[in-house]
Amino acid sequence: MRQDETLSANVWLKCPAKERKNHSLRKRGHSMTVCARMRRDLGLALLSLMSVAVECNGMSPPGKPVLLGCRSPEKETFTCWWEPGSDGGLLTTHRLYYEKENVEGIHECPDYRSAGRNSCFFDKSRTSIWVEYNLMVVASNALGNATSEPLSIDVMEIVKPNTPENVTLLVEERENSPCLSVRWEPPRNTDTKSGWVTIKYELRVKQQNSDEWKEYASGTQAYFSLYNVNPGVVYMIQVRCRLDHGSWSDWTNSTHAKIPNYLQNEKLVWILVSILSAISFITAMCILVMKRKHVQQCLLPRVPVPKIRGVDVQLLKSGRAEDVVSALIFNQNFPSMGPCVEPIEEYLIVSDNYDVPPSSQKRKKSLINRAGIHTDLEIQSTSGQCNGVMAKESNDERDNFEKSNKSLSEDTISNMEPDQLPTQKPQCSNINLINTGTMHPPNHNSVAERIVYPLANSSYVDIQRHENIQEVDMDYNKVKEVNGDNIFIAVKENMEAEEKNIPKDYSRVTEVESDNAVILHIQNISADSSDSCSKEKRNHNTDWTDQKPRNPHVTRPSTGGVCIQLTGSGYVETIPVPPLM
Amino acid sequence: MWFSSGMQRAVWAVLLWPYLLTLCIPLVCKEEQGSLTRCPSISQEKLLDRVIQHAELIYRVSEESCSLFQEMFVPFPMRLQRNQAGYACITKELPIPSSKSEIQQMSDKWLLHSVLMLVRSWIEPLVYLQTTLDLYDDASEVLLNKTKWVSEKLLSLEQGVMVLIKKMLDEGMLPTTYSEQGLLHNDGQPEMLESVMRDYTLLSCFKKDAHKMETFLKLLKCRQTDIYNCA
Repeated sequence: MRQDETLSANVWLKCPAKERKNHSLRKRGHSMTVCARMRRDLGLALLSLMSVAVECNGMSPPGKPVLLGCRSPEKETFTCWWEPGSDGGLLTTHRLYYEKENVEGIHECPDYRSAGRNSCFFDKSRTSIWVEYNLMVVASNALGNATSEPLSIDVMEIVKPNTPENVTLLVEERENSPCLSVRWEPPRNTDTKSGWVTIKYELRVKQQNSDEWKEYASGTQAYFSLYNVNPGVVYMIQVRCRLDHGSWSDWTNSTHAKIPNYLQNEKLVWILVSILSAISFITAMCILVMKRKHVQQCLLPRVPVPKIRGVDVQLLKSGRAEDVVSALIFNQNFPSMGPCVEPIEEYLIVSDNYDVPPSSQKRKKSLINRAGIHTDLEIQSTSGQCNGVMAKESNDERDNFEKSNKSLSEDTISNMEPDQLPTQKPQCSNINLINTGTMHPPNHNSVAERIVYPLANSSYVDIQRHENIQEVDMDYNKVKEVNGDNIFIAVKENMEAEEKNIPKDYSRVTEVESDNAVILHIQNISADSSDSCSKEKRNHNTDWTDQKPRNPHVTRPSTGGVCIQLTGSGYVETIPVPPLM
Repeated sequence: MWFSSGMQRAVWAVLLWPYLLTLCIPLVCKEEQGSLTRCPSISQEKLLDRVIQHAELIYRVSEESCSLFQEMFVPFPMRLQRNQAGYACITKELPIPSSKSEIQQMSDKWLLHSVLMLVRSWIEPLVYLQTTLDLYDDASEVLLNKTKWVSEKLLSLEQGVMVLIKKMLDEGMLPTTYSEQGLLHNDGQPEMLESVMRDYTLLSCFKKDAHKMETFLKLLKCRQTDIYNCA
């Protein structure tokens, strides 16, 4: 290459003009073009040489830097950053120049160091707000400069604060529910007190296990309370802020807090309460069980069962009627028959002597045989019963006697007026005076035939029976015991045998006990005196039933006199019977 | 021609008189003038809070309007170069500091008056903005409503600030003077891009000033440390 060049250069240099004179003009032109070409080639060659030389060294002007952006943390200062391009192998410097809106001229960045490499920091004195800044970065080295694209900013638009600081968490327990109280401080260097900037906060919460954040706005307050926290869970909290209407800051680092478990305390309390209540309940039940009878008495008192005194329920249950009745009657105490109180009564003395004039006898007559004399019954039975009795009278004496008897019998117990005796016709005596025939004093028929005439509506006991009675005057009747309806009759008669012709066997009704019972009184006739009679009479009582035997005999009055006494107890006062005739 | 300043004032007075009436009542209780309507006098703290709420709302809505407009009309490469179109904010003439240190050295009176100046200087341009936005074929209802709403709220804000000045500074009612900003009148048929860029600049400038107003008022509020707790 060099030989050619030198050759061409020699040719070019040696390009004579003489020699070429002889030659024709043609040769000059040709020689001229040849020289130019050679010169051109030479230049090119030189240039290529030089470029090759340069490339072998690696130097070039710097590349174009790029302005990344600016930021003001508190609206009082700001910082801008750029990214440099290639440095071109040489030492390149970057300079930032800016223009302010109201200020003439181009200014350079005052501080390249405070904010780090490739940055420019504008302090407070050089920061104007609401003013446009026009920035550019120039990279320059030995070979050249490179200017970045311009950037226009207004400080109020590039505000981005630092993160809040000192985030503290506090777990509080309010009204049995846990609460997480978060507190923090505004970032440093921000002037919130003068009102230059208005700061607003935001926080977000997340449970440790989940991935979802929940955001809350806190306004201008530097504290916040979280109420929907669950015990036993770990929470993570982050806070950020912004100034005026600028950009939000970055989130703070997570702060952790664990909510303790409060349920254990409550459980203890409930366990104690349940144990105490169980103990008290068990003791109460034991007391109740032990005193159940007493309790039962209090709560469910017994209702008295109806009861009859003397009646045995078991006996009733057995079902034997007889026993029941006997039991009833056994228990039943009939009122005791007290000793007969003898009323003071007049009585007629009936004597044996039939010769006695009637008039005088009248007064003396007394009816001995009071058989069949009933108290009230005789009064009732005065009607129509006389016939049988009447017919049998034959003797005058007997008649008299009978009359007197009858009359007496009629009057029975009551006093009779002797005057009436004789005049009375044979009247209805008691039918109970049965046989007139038997009334014959001399004839004491052994046959004691008693005819009982039934009485109408009377409860008088009529018994028909046959009885053999001796003619002995001394005989006295003994009443049989009749066991009819469980009623026994016991008659005991002690009559003194001394008396003559004193029919000893007569009975007298003393009392009518009931419909079925009649008490007969047996007299003790003694000739002695009435007093003895009275005495003796007290000893004897008879209880008669319906089937009482009737003593038809009408005993004669003894000579000694017969005292007819009337029992007082239960004695029914008779009403003087009106004469039938 | 027709939009001479005097006529403009008259027109605005006619157009805006119902707003003045409706807005006067809750904010300005005219006890001295013996008005028929009686309202309970509002406390200074509540009035300041209400004014700050107004300013915050206005800023938020203006921010939304700006972003809407940017999405709809501004081509993508132009979005970052707002000032390169050459239109400066109309209020840059106002003597309002823009650094924190300077602002904090301002007195209450100066803060309030600055806010008032800002509010008043934006009343007219917003009205103009409404008219220009109507000329756009694709302007959405939302954008139009927002700009309308903002212009209305600005008037109430002005009223509130005036009452606040009266209460806090014990000054008389300042007459409402409209700014002499004649820069915004239409001259001919501008190109689409130019008008778009101009409107875009207008919106972004208004957004800044709204934020300025809000900041001033909040500074004012937190200066009353015995009442407020601006922690």
